[in-house]
Amino acid sequence: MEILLEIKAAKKGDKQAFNNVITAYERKLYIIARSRLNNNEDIKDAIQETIMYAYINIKKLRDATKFNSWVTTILLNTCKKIYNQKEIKILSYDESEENNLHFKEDYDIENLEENQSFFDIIDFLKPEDRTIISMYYLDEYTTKEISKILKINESTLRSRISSIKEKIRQRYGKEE
Amino acid sequence: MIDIDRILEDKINKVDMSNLKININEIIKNAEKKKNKMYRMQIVSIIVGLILFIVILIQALF
Repeated sequence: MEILLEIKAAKKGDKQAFNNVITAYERKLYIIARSRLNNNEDIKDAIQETIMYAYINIKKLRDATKFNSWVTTILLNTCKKIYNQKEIKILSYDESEENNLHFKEDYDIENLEENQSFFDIIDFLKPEDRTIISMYYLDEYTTKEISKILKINESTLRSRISSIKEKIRQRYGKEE
Repeated sequence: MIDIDRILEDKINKVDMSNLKININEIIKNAEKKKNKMYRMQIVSIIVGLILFIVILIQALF
């Protein structure tokens, strides 16, 4: 509720309110950008560009409750632009081993629980699957919102989430 | 069956953001400059458009 008031104030040009809103969303922006890009500088650029675009265009946002979807869409478009511009090698399942900078070979269940970070676990997935699963585990998104942002049918999205979870289970659940 | 939901929910809350050092105030400052530049460009194009319109109008009249 408080964040909604801040967004409304930011729409009226309150810089401090905008700063507070972005501070509240910073973590989410980082996780989504990281799901698409694997270079820290590119992630930083994507977030900075998104913040700048959001600041300039926030008055055009009609409904303050849609800020979450709006800023996420901007971020995903920016990530796509950066990816296309620099032709970054995004970690994916079928890329060569040398590009898999964070790819960990020893993926047993104990390792999964203790040593691996969220992105160590999901980096073997395709970029869009990584984004889906990151948004799914970030509490702030409903499946309806994710489906709208990623332009995927909601039931298709649900089955994709199940299939992604299954892929992770298959990869890490070997020891059982 | 491993509890993927529990593990990933737990892990996502521990995502390390220490690499991300952004100065929001600095970005806002740069955005303001960009915004002002855009406004100036818009004003310049409106003025140029008006001048062209007047020139064409005068040519048409005389």
